[in-house]
Amino acid sequence: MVVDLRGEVDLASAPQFRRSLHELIDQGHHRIAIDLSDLEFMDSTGLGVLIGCLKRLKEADGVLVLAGLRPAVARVFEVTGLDRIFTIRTSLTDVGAR
Amino acid sequence: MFRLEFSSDPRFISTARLFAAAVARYFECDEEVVDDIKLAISEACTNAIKARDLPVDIVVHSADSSIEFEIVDRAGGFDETALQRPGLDDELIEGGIGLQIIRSLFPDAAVEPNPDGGTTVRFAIPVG
Repeated sequence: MVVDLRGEVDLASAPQFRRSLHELIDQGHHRIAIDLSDLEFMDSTGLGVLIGCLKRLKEADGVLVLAGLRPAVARVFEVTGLDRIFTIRTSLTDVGAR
Repeated sequence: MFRLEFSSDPRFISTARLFAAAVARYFECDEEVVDDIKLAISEACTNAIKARDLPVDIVVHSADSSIEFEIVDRAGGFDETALQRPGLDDELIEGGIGLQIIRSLFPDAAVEPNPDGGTTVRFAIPVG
């Protein structure tokens, strides 16, 4: 399952983002790739959603791949050290998802 | 001095980022610095809004060689130690990692209680 994430993720939009991802997992999608190439901004609330998603997928022996991070989005992963926790790729074509 | 006051509504955090970015560009900050400022502002405003349902102020002071951002909330202050516990729980990270991010971006950032309640987050950027 490939998810396109666009716009901005912050405290206002994170609840909808969380609901959407958890619905996918509930539906049995345990291999999720998120294309972030059109995501302009994300702060720690977005990271929190992704971490919650990663934990659920790991419990289900699933996979979460993030791809196409713009520099402003990559920055929040870098300063938190979470770029070492997540599987991050330059683009989804790299992992054969597209 | 530049100043933005907004009510405690998550929808206004994007407005706060736009305001901060506009001020930073006015002072000709590099776009990488503008991105860091937007992230720090977003984290500070998120903490302020989650702390209490009271207005948030962003004040920018300029001096010869720096600009200083202040994010002032009128809440009762937050327990900094509670926000710094390590962990990967999404609720914890949402509440706790914001301050860590601000300090990673701006190591001299300060978090201080206000005399009349609430908290001020303050960080400065060299300009010129």
